[in-house]
Amino acid sequence: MRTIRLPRMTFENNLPRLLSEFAVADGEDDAVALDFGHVEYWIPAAIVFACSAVNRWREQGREVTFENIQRCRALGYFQRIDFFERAGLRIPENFSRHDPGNSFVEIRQIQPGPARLADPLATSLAECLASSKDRMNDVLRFAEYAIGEVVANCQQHALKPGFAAAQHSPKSECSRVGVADYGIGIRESFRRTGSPHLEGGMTDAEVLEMAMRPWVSSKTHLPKGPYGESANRGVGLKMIRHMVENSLGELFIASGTAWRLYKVNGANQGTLPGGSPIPGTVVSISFHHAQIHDFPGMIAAAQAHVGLTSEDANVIFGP
Amino acid sequence: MKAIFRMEERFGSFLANGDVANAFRFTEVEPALAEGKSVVLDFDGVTNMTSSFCNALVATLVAHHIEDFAERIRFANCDALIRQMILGAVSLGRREAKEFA
Repeated sequence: MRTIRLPRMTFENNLPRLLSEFAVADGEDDAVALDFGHVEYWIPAAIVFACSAVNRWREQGREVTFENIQRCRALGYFQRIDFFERAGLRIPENFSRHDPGNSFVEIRQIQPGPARLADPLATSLAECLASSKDRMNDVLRFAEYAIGEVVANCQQHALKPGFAAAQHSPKSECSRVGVADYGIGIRESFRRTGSPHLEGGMTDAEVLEMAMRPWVSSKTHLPKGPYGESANRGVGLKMIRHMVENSLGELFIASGTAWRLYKVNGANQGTLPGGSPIPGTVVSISFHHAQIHDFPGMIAAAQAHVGLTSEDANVIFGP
Repeated sequence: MKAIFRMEERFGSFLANGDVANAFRFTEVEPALAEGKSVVLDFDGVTNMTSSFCNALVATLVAHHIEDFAERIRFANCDALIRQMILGAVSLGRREAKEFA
């Protein structure tokens, strides 16, 4: 049996270490014990990644046990966010559930396929984070846009279920969204579609860097999708990256053995310490509410960043 | 003849999934254009849209109908955000039309 001693705190900057521990375990066939004894705080991306891994292992018929749960200082939070239930373990709750307000959103499952899931899921998460149902609220619209793009990517590319969760810290006015799946990952998505972008011998780090360039998607080259054209242009995530960087937020993405963390003053990148690949993809987006103003203006700047102009007098608006 | 598609009634106030947009374009909008109708995409009640949805719908329509899209396709009741999204998608469609030509 492999025992993973889960870290006390997990943020974007030490998330690769957690991913690495799980990736090493993923390459084995043994039973896995997750030791929660020291866990105090994890960002949503870490939680949904662990949820994905447990579901994958269970699907493979591997035994997964949870140790020292009662010593875990974040037990109540992990229960409220439905981590254990999503991971297949029911534990008695020593508290009454109440409306979480805008402090967190329980883990939601993302099923692959074309179903209209991204829209309602993104809206419900965004309404919670923004603590508003005002459809013109800039924070709500930014969160809805970002979650909608990332969830739709997961639906379209992962080919396996994923999970999403969100959290808001009222003190710092910072919101975080995490989406993780245990699907095929970015490299395999490019390989399966025979993308000309994917060259032999590319490392996972090179594949991830390429996937984050505007106009690159694993499907942009497909001449005939089921509806005559590919739906993908490869700009959605890159526009989120631009908006996040310019609002002092962070965008983390990992696939295979590679990870990248985009911030306002540049990107950090690296490979997972253990050298084993994670299955699927993990995305974390964080943003500060005070930095989100004039969402239409943010979109215009992000469009310009990826090379889309908006000077076109021939477009006809109006009935 | 005019075909009016009320986007909010069909897809809600947030339009997110590019695959859904692609299917809508292919199965409903393109056939209406093929019948010689002009098309109105009415965004009344739509408050948000992803680039993926907008590009899959608008950029592809522009690329396929580069000669006469401005005469045959109108965008109604767009707020500032939806308008900005559409402008970006139109520029993309124009670029793609040039590439296809």
